[in-house]
Amino acid sequence: MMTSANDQDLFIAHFDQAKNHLPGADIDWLANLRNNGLSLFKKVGLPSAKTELWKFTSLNPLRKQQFLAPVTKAEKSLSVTDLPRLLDETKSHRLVFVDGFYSEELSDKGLPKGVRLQSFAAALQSEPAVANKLQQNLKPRDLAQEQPLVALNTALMTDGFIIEIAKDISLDKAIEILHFGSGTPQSSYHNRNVITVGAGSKATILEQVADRESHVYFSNSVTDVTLSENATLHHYRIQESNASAFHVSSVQADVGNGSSYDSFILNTGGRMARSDINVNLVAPNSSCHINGAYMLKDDQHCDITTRVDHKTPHTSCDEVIKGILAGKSRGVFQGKIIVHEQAQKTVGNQSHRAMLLSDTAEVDVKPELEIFADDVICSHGCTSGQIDEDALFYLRSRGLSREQAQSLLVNAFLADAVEALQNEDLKDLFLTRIASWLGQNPQ
Amino acid sequence: MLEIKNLHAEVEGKSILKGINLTINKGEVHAIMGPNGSGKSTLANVLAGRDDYEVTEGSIFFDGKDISELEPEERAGEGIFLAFQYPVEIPGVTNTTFLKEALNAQRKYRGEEELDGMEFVKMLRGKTKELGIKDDMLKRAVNVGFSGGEKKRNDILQMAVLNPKLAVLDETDSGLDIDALRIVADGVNKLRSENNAILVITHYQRLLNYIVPDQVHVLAHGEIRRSGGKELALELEEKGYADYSGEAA
Ligand SMILES: Nc1ncnc2c1ncn2[C@@H]1O[C@H](COP(=O)(O)OP(=O)(O)OP(=O)(O)O)[C@@H](O)[C@H]1O
Ligand SMILES: [Mg+2]
Repeated sequence: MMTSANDQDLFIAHFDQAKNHLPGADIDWLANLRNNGLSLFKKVGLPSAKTELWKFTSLNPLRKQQFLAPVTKAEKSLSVTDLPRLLDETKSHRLVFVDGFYSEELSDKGLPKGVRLQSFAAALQSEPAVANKLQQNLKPRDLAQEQPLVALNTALMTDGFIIEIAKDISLDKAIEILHFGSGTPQSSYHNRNVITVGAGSKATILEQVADRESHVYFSNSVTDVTLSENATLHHYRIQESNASAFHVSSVQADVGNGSSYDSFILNTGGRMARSDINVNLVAPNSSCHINGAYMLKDDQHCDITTRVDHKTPHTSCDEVIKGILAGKSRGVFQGKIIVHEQAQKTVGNQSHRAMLLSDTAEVDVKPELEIFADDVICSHGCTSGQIDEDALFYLRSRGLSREQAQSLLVNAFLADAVEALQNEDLKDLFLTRIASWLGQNPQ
Repeated sequence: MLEIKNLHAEVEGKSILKGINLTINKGEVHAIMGPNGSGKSTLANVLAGRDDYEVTEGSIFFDGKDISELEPEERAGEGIFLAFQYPVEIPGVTNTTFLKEALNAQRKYRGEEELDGMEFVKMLRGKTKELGIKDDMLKRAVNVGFSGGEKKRNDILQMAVLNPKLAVLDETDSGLDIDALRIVADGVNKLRSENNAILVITHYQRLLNYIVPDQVHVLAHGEIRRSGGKELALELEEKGYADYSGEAA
């Protein structure tokens, strides 16, 4: 077995190589934060099979890589026409990150009103007031045991996006962020993103993870979300990178009084993709949706781990995750709902459903309810199974080919999850993604 | 049209059909009756091409063509339709979508032009009206939440839309109320023509008052033990299957 000391060496060396290049090197609080992150990571190392929250997701394939330190921007020249885009300019304002670094040239010009968009690096170079505000918005995490990769991110925060939406703003365009892999093999980066939505505001933020060609790289991003009162954030993500990429992401959202954090993640890419989504419902009438779907084939691995803390009375959360697994792929869902003692009248529903298209695919689930209040309505359900052979035969006996029948059934299974999206363009887009994935007839 | 010779089939190593011989000509209606577990649904499923059932001996010719190696969808394209004893629920797929995809898949198989949305909807509306099926049922997922009788009626709607050469109805009458029985029988009789054939599997002579068969067969222990005219159904209703209870010698 590998010792944890070996695990860490590469990333600790990255820190030494990168520390003079990392943004905000001259800011004291940031240096402290980075050092704390680093010492914690040194102590704990990469998550292993013994780390409770990582017991179904092995980082061994990642350990075998020799990633490069996140030091320089990619040299490869790209033009906007090389890049995929979810919504066109009339419907979204887009920021582009290439191999983890913000690209001003590739990003849309002009700013939506009432919004501050900045890269993490640029925010740290702004006047002290802006940089210090960032300090408040970087959420202190419980960095112990379970979140060594958040600690690593904190040490190495390279770049990222900062989105600040003023109060009483209703954005008519979505804000779109493209995280693009340019094809630089063995690159690694640790983005730190911050989203704050002011009182009474509404926004849609779309993130797309994609790349140009097959290559191994590692992205370890952390996003801190804060919704003030009566705010709504639709946070929709699609991860469709090449099948050699490693993606780890952790979102923490604090949801204020009367606010709603509505999230969806569509995961089709990567060799290994782990998404942590932690939502704190910290004030009455706050709510969240944690929805998503994943489609895996070959050796792909996808892990969605969620935790919702109901901390005050009258909060609600709905969680629906669906997965399709072909080949030797593996899906993991871990969902924890914690209803704190004072959180009466909590409503929490969670479900994970997986459909396996092969005998060699596998799903591991771990739903957990921890309820300390007595007046609550909570439910959870996890199911997984093969495609329904009776249904397949029924459809085929009416003339549909096996492929058509299978794709109709799988499509119906997933479409149900996509229906939750509050954006028609994106709904269509996600349905198209599902259809084209099915069009490849994964077995 | 359909010519089954010495058909043997097994499921999970268990022999179920033990030498079925059955010929159905164009324009004819045949009925199969027989005790529970005798192999009626097995025969229907084997005809439709379900691969859980292994044909170990014998042949099935349809319109002069050996179909025993064809996939279920190919048999559908050739014009075979099975109304299921237990129609399956398909969550998330609406009746309309399903019917349109199925019809166009069959038309494509036969080298016919696919119907566009407008033509299809018009045709579908006509059929639902004839069968007394409410439009909202078309928007619902296939058979999901349908009552037993509604599911059967839905299968008949599919039959009416797909207009098969040979329709095999596996206990389509069970679970239907008297009015629904008449509607379903009317639907079947509409399909009846000199170019089509119908095979009705039923436990009740009553259905055969509405869909009058040319021949009635008794299937017991995986064999057709007796064949006769429509009066055979009346006799069975009276006497039961006691005469057919023994294993074959
Ligand atoms: N998939 C299967 N696995 C095991 N046994 C099966 C399977 N399908 C059918 N059988 C068996 O084959 C025999 C014939 O079944 P079948 O469904 O054809 O009967 P049936 O004549 O249609 O009866 P019923 O009148 O009750 O509908 C039964 O003994 C049944 O248990
Ligand atoms: Mg039967």
